Amino acid sequence: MFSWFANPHRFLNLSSWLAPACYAGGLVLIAWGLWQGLWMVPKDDYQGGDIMRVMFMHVPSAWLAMASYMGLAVMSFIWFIWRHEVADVAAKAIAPLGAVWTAICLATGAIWGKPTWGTWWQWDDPRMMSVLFLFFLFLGYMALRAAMDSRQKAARAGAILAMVGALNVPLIHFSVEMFTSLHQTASVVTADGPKMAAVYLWPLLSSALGQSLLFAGLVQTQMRTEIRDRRTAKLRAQLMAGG
Amino acid sequence: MLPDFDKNAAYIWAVYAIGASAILLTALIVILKAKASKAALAKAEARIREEDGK
Repeated sequence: MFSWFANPHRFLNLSSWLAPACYAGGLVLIAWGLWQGLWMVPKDDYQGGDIMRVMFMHVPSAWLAMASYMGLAVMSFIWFIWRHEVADVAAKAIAPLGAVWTAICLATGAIWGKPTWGTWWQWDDPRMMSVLFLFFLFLGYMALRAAMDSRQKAARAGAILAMVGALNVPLIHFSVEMFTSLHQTASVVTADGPKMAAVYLWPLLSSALGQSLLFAGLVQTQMRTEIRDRRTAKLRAQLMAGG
Repeated sequence: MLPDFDKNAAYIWAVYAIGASAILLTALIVILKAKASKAALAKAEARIREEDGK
């Protein structure tokens, strides 16, 4: 299956319709989730009143930050084992977008923290610090790739960092269970199923799926750009050699 | 019409403003980069065809 997707022409054909479909589906779901989250759902006094509406932006960005890093690690693993170039293209495309979503998670979490916990940030909080570390992993991945003098070296160094850094993702998830944290424990992804009322759960899932589809569309567009850039570089080298 | 939130309204709107602008700005950069790369490839392909025609 990996080999089937490893062909850039197949990927370009597939993404020519899949990326716009992801954008359209993502925007519809985000719009519905926001409309429900901001206008329709009742405020929850147990969760501090209206401030819980921040959840429909913060929680999807946190899930996507972790999921995108796992995507980066899986693509890196596929490239590392099978040397499929499209997997490397995907890893390179995911990193900056993952960094943006992690930054959104950190910023929105800090803003939610101020009225809820009385502080924007706490340096010894395991959840905050592990997410901040995730952000630096994304930046480190991009910096490491940019520092290498060949594409193969960049892919290899980046893949090793991405795979090792994946250990941080379960640490983020379980940090609130294992250590003392200001952050609340999981209320959707739990062994006993979601603890949240359906009136909040559906808009949250809609926002999360919408942001995921938008992210997937952006990754595909980035990948198409990278494939084109590689082809352009090849043609320019051909012209230089010929001229 | 905008919803009427409690005393934390400023925090709520700040979260949505930051989230929406970060996502829109990222999408804009990705789309502009895609357009530029498409144009660069078309130019390189045209030059190759030109060279082949000589």
